[in-house]
Amino acid sequence: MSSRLPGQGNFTRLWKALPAFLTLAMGAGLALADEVTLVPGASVKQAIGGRVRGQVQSESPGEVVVRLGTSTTSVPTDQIVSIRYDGQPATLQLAETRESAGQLAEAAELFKKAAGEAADKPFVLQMALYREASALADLALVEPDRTKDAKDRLLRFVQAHPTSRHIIPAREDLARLQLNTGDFAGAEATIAELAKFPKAGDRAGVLRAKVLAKQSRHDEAISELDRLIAAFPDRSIGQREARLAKAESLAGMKKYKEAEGLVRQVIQAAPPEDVAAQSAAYNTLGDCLRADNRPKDALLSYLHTDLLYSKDKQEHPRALFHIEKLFRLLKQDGRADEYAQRLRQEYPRSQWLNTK
Amino acid sequence: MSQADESIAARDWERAVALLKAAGRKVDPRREIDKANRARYNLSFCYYMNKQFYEANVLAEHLARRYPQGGLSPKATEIGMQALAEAYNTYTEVDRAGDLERLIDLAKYAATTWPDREQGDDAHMNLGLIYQGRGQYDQAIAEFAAVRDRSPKKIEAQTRLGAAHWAYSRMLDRRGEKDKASAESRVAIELLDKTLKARQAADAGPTDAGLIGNAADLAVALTETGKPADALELLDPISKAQTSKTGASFARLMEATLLAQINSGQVEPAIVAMKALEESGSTTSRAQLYFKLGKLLERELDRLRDKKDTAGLKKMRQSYRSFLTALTESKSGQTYESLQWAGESLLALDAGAEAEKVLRRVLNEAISNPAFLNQAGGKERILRTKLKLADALRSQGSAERKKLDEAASMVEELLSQYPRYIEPMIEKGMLLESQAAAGQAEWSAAFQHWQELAQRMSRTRPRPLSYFDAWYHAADALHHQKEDTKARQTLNGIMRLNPGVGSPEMKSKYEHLLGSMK
Repeated sequence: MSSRLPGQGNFTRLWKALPAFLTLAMGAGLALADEVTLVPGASVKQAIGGRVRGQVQSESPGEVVVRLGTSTTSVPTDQIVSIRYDGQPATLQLAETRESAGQLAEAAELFKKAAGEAADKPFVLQMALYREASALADLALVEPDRTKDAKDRLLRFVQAHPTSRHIIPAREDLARLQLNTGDFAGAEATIAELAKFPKAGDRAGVLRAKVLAKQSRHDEAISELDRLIAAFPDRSIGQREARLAKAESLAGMKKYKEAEGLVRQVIQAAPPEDVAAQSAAYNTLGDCLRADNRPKDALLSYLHTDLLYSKDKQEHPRALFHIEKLFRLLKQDGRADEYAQRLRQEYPRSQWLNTK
Repeated sequence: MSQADESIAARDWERAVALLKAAGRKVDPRREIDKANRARYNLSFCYYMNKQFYEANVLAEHLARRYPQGGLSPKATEIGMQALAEAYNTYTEVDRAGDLERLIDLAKYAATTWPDREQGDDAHMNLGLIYQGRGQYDQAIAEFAAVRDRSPKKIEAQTRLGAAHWAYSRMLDRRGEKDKASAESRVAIELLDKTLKARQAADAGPTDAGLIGNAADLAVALTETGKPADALELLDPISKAQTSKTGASFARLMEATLLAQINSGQVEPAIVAMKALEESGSTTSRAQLYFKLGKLLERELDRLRDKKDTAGLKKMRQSYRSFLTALTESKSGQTYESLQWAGESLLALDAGAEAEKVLRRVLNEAISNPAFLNQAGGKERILRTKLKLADALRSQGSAERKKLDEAASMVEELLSQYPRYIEPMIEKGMLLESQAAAGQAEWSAAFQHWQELAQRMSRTRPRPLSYFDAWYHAADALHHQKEDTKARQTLNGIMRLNPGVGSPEMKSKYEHLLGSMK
């Protein structure tokens, strides 16, 4: 067996070729300005360091076509994390910074402003409009009085841009919002539209199961979710969401031990710093343990969301609410008051403030 | 972070928590995980110091379980385990078992993840203590034995291992498995002796807390295996070397000494040791030791009584009375049982006034404690205390008539509360006798009461001792009414049908009364 490391034999050749390569890359950098960042592990032709640099030629719900010099490459939309367009307004970057800091209202305003500044750049415009609507949808999950505004923006977007690469996430956001407000008919209609996209069939399935669970049709939900869990690739986001949804349905059927086992699998399988995955999982775990009359274990579960994953503005107030209730149950009124105060201060418009 | 460090140095935990949380928000763990985890570790420590045990545990366990290779993770586990132990001791009202289960889970994880580090040893020690506390001695023994030879806590672990073997031997002994118990106690004594010698070889002085605990454990094992003299020989030089007469270690030493003295029948030194124990300020429960000492003193009183050593008896009664009074005046370590026992013992020594004082204290403390009232048998215990208090008041009735009145109202209250209980009825009979003796009532009323009570108990099989005692008192009342013939007929009738009259002591009472009426 050779003791050489892979590629070691070509080292000299690469070294000699390096100046030419650098020249080429720099030249390409100047001419090809749009940058597509890919999900980790994506295999896309002509991608370097997880990125494809070129000129975005077209966008559709299924793919983005990028021109690189004289050739083109097709990037599936489910392999894309983000796209930075050449000449996009600086306001867009500012909006993203606000969004990642959890300042959703400010972010929505800035995305709106960026859309105005990019009126002559259709891909940038679509992205800004979608991100504005999406930020408002996230905000509405925390502050229900913003729901109508968020729904209007999303509806306007899906009607105006039915072939945008953002159409699948936009319909998902809309369905989630409708589900959250108990508009099951609206959610089912949105999910039916979503299911028409070949790449969104399974995600539509998870949402459909969530509608069933909200209607207490847990058996049907679980049967749908089992099918999806088997269909999704292992450790994929889709599989994780399906497992969590199944755990919620199991808890709804008072099968707490089974639900707990499933959520713990999700927690273990997801990276420890994956805020979206862990916050939802720990809150669901807390719900299962609370229902199973294990208040201290439930408290510890919700505290994970508070102490480690508070960036998730949808899950964080839910955790604060339950921590307050559990400390009160443990006859620690001082601690309970402290968390009630935090919920009021950090989420003054949260629906959890009105929950009994 | 530097401001947080300053707050930690100033022990301003709340400020440190606020600063560390703010610092944590600025770090993206996906890019700077070491920085994020350092902030989490410090935050966990500050939460622990600020007595926010669950918050401390969540952060510590996150580091321990999700980043086991991280440099701070083993140390974080220590915080996590300690936080759960503190939570178990603090949040006692609801779901207490949950804390212990979680602590066991974390300790098992630490023992498996870091078998070659001190944190793994600590985990074994924690598990051993928990299992021992639960009476799962075989598991406790396995955990203490698993501590590594090169661990700095090896001697401590071996001492605890010896103590676990000893506790296991007592359990086997109670179960009647004498041979196994004996084998376990031999292992315990060998281990405790070996660790004591190891401590001495390592220059641990007689005031070293570890050495005192080790010696005390060994002494208890020696005493209870019939070698109290060896125990006293072991403890004596250590006791003499103590400069401080307070604290948990000194109390532990005195407890072991007292136990050995009781088992050696050394009455006077035992009283001295008990006083020292009371003055040590330790608050551990010593009810069992009280009972043992009480039994020793009672045996000593019986011995002197049998010897007809009047002077010795008087002296011992006085010593016993002084000891009981000193004991009840102690504010620390008292329990319902210890005070009740002291009150009843004073009553048996005819110290009615002192008994009344103690029993009133017992009653007040019990009534003002809702937890006591709600526990199983709480009401029955209060009934017993009230009956003894009525007895104490009655015993002072000849000198102070109002005490007799107070006893009477207390007995009436108990009879209305517990109309089916026999004990208040017995006390009512005793009260009627005292009232008759004081000229407040007729002896006929006492006779009537005892006769009714005896007839009420006549249907019980086997007949209780109180049945024969009731007829005894009925005859005694007749005797006081100068109706000796009727009294003799009563006693002889009972003895004819039941020659043993319940017990040799009762028979002797019957015969003595019959003798006095000849």
